Amino acid sequence: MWPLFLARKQLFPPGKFPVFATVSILGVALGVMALLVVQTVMNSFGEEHRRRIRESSGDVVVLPPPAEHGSETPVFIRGAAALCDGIERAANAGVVAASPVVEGAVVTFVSGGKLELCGALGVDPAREERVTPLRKYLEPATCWEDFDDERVIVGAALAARLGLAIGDTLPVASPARLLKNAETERKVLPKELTVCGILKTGFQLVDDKTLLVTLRTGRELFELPAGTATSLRLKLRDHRRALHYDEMETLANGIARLHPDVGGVKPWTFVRQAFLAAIDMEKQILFFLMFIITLVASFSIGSTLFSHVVRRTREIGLLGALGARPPHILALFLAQGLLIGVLGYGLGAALAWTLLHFRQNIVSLFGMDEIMAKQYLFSQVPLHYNPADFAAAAVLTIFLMTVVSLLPALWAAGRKPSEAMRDAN
Amino acid sequence: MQTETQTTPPVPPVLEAVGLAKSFRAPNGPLPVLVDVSLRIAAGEFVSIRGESGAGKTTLLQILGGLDAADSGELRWNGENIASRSNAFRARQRARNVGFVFQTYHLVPELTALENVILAGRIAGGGRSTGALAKEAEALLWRVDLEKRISHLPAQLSGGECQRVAIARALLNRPALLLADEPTGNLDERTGEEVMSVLLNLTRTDGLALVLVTHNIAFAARAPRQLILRHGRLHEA
Repeated sequence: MWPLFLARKQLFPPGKFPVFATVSILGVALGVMALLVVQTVMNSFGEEHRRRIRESSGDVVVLPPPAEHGSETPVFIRGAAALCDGIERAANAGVVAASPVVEGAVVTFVSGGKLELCGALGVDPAREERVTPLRKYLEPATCWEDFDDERVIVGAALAARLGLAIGDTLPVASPARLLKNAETERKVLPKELTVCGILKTGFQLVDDKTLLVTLRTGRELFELPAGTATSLRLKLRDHRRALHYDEMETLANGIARLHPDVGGVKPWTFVRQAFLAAIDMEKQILFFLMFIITLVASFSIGSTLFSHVVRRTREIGLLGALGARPPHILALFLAQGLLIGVLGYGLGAALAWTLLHFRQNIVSLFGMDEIMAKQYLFSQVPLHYNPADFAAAAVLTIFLMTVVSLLPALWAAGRKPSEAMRDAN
Repeated sequence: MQTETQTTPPVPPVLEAVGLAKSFRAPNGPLPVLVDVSLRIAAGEFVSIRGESGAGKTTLLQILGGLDAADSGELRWNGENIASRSNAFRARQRARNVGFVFQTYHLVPELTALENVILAGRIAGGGRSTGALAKEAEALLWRVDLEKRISHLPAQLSGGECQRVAIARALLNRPALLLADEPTGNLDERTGEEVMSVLLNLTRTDGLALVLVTHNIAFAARAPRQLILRHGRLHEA
């Protein structure tokens, strides 16, 4: 193992400041730090959004049967409450709770005669709180107790946009209901609901568009028969089971046995599929950009390593004279690249961890708390370490450093001892 | 023309070169450096080689030590022709059979005197532990009067001390042959004399064959057998 011993000595010469090693290791460390910070931040944002999606839509959604071609009749599940009970009893795929919901587009009438298109979500409060922790996102939290058929809970961003406060009255109607008014002589007035609370999930797509009403009010708005729901939301003991195809198939088969007239089940990732895909793509694009930056940095280090190897020509000749073979010389300089990679990765990971640990202070230092709260509705910058990101960065760093040190190492290994000595003199 | 000793050495040769030739590429065609050089070195024999600058002394020494290959001819170490063997084989044999001492010492600047000596043993392998190598290296450094300098870096040693470290390093693997290329070339007269004394004492004590390439006529004259390299050919002085 003398090449490793000599590699260490050459990188960290005793009694001298190791300029070459320090610059190279710092270069790698900065690249690794940037890569890990970007990946972890993106990962944290993604995880936080995923958690909020799960918490606002349940782990699994049971869909209604598909609409018949050309039919204008809204699709719904009949006997929704009984089906929920049956699903909970069967407990396939670890289902612990089920809740019927009614969802659809509605318009609200705001001051100035303007219309605002948003989504109404009708829930059974008693069942819903066993599936989603909506209650923890309510302001005031006590509004859940007062929540009844005459009241509405408004998404925070929507309430801010419409200038709504608790106690205000909000007229709400479904487009279908308004169209019917136009087609028939029947005149159904918008339903007047009183704002009793604000929903602040921190998930923009929910907070910006949602009106939370009771299940009965929802059915009334969308003119659905009693006992129906447009979908069911299920909570699993372990939400990760929703991503297993086999588990979902078992669950779908169990539900089909209980109630043949449903349209299947979809995991929570399906609910905001496009949004989640965008987050994943953003993370991949950033990883790619960081990879390019790291690649450029690595080749720059490779160039420095080449100069370092050329300066060692005399020693290459000497080692050959002492009996070292080309694989030894190759190992000596590859080991130097590897040491730089390993130490650079270690330092970079430590720097990334430190930056992420003090992320909140850094955000505050640059006065970005407000933007963070407004744009992302994060009062605290989320943090979710993904070991796979760290492992990928380690493999990438060590691979790149091995590749960039291979060229100078091969050059050194290919030198004849006699020529190396002659050139060095 | 070949210049071989007239009498066969009483002991088998540690090195035998027969008809070595070497030329380098030059703009005007090949430039012959060595022409039909033959040489036999017996165990414990001391041979000096002189010649003008550019005469090919270093090239000859490198070929004899297996650092470079001749264009033609045979080179035998302990009776085995190594000229046609692989570089890897030559490297292994070189580590065990040949010690080199260079004009510019060629010490690894990041290693202490002791580590520089041990390095030769670690490269040669042979199953000796680092502890055992360290003991042998310390003993050798003691023999070259550097026992108080073992933990010094080359930059902290004088030229003469560096060369003595290089001699100790060359001897660690107990080679049969020592090839010294201008070992006093970078030293003043007094230090050069000291280094030569150390070199000659050690090779004599250990029974090593020594090939000394030098410009110094006085040092060359100490060898019982003196050769001169002229126009690529080796002559008895």
